Amino acid sequence: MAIKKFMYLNRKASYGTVYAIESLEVVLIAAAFEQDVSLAFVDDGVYQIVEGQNTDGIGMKNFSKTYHALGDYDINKLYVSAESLEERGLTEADLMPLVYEDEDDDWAEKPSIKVVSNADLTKIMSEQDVCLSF
Amino acid sequence: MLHTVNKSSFERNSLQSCLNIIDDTSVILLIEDGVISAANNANSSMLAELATQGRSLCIARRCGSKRNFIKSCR
Repeated sequence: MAIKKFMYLNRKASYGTVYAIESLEVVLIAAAFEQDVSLAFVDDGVYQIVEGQNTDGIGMKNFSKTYHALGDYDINKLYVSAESLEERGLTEADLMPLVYEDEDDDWAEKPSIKVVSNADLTKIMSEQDVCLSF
Repeated sequence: MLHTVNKSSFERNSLQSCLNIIDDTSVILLIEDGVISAANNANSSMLAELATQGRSLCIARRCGSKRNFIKSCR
């Protein structure tokens, strides 16, 4: 099967709607098919990867730890909109330290998250074969 | 009257719509994604004016803590 470039666009906060967890599930499915997967976090989607989420008392599963598994599935291109972070008073330091092991560099641990401008994101999106918005 | 807002002010105009119709006896409860409006961010000004009038605001603690917002609230 030909490998295509897939981008998953995450635009909503984690627990108010089902979009975030559904996106994560579809991302893991695409990874199982060994596709070239990128994730983008824009608008309220940046809240999905904020560190220190706590779902005690709201009757929902805290699935934020699952993002740490993405690196093991060779999903290591996580783009975060700088503008979306800034609007929300957040910085890269507020995000989970998501990493992957680079097999081309003696399995060195490297950060998966790249904070990029919306202009850069436009370019990255235009290079994709498929873009799925959640 | 109690008004509840459960949508992010970045995504919907629910909070602005609420602010447009409340009077000075109204209470707003921010719940679910509505708590995003209580954090320090580009939309803070929407609620800042109410605070200067000495108005109080209720935020569902459980909804706030799950999003790590209580600590960043003004």
